[in-house]
Amino acid sequence: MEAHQLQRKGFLSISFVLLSLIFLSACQNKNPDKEHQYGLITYDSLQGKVYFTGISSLTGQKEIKQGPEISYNGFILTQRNGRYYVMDNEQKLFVCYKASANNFNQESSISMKDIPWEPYMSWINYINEHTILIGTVNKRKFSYIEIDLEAMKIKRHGALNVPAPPDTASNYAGVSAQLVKDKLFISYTFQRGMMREHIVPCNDTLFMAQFNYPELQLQSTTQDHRTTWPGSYTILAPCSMVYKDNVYVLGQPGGRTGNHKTAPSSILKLDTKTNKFDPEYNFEIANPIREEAYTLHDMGYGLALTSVVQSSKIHSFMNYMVNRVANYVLLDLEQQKKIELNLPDVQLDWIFNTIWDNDSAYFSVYQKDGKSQIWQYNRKSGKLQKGASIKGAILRIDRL
Amino acid sequence: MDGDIPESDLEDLGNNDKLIKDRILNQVIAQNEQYNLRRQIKTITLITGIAASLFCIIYCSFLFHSHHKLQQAQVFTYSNTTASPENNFNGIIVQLAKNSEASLNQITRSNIDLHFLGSVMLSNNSAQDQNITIQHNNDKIKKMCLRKGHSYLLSYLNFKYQEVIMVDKQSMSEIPPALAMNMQQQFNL
Repeated sequence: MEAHQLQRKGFLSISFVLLSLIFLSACQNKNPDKEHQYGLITYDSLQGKVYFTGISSLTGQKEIKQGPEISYNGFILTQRNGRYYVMDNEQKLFVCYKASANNFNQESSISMKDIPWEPYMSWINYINEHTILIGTVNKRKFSYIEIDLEAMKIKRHGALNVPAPPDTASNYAGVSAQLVKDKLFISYTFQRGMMREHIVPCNDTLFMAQFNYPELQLQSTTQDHRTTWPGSYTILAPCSMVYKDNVYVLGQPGGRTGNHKTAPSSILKLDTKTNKFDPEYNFEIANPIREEAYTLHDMGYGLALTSVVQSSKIHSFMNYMVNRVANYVLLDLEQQKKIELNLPDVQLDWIFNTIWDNDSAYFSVYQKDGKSQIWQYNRKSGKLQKGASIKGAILRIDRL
Repeated sequence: MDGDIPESDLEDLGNNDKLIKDRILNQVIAQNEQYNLRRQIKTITLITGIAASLFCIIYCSFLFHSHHKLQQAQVFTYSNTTASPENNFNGIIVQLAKNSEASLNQITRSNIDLHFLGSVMLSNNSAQDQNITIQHNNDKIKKMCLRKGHSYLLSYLNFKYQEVIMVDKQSMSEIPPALAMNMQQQFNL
């Protein structure tokens, strides 16, 4: 009799839990923001307008209807939980925008007055889920800003004592950094002059300074001569990533950045235990005579996406800016293998048009018809297939 | 008896005359009214014509006048008396970097020829898009559209040869970082 009662109680308990779960999931679906897994920010060059579109899936060959027009001033540094964080250099503000199906509204902001920040010489790292570390070079000095995105508060800011340039005519160039556990690795090189009158080729050497975290004190330095210009072009163009606790850094000495005539576009691997570059690892991703490679987007599980430019297509600097001179190539960093995608040529844009999940990597190609086609690369099958498309050039793909 | 006109008949004759008279009078009045109406229409047409002609003359003279109000050509030179000198050329705000110079020539209402030295920022505050043509000794002729309400930065870059670099202020990340930083300093962006 007691056993029967226990069985009945157990049955009732399980039913209650199941009903609760059904109720909770039903409530969750009523939130319109949760219906959109991904956020696309697109730019219509003919209209000169930017749009935000929330979508549930990147797959399926369908044309997505463009969402509302949005406006913000400055650079989107990152996105988290449907909130976009923008550095407005004109107003000296760090602004949080909340994106929803129909709106893109300013929610809060932090004053950045008297805190140095230079958009063209910066990088961004995540310390934890809601804290970012922004690094920057301003007036020949490195500095950092630590921001709690949840509280919208600057936790601290200060100087990073990276070794000084060799002479007063040299400036830091091509800077980027990666935070691995309790170590911050800052890569950089030097360049003489300010390029206003002419582009002077950058220094032959790639430098790396290692800081401890959270103290942010210089611990060691190392260098490598196999490539140079190890940093991003701007904060919008990543060129290093972390995989299995190693930092992979792409040297970009091509004409658009370092303008070094002989150095190859190579990826080097930094062992974060020894703080040294692996002498055996040199993934030359572009032919130094005929090609140049730019940007390294993490595509998950040791895959990366880069843009390779055929040097023969470059007759003037404006070709880099306005012509379709690049094509996307997938890279297997561990195997040092290039995976040709045979997609149409694209412009060499500084955009965040990639995302990945457990099975696939996604990226977009801005086509001549004024639409962006999303492509899905299945990591297991190696199959590349078309996904959704949208009017305009995709500037960002984010998981909301 | 036959020659007699009965009194009632006379009365009828009198009535008929009156009717005829009334009819004639009505016809005359109607004709007069029609005549007056025609005259009025003619007058209105004449006044409308004169008014339309006057309007056309005034409009054409306005167009002619306003067309000629556009500046045909102007040279702007950097002056070190102000940090960021600002000049207006037919709605195009011309800002010059240090030691820079710009010469603008309005070819048609929406076409401008530009020659410049150094670095220039052009902001199109006019009512329409403007097409500019830039010629430089070492570079090909370059054309660009200055969109209404947009600002553009122009400078020279010695890459393979000295070429003109043009970029929308909103897309400064497209140009080399050092050039972008220099523009920021020069134009206080």
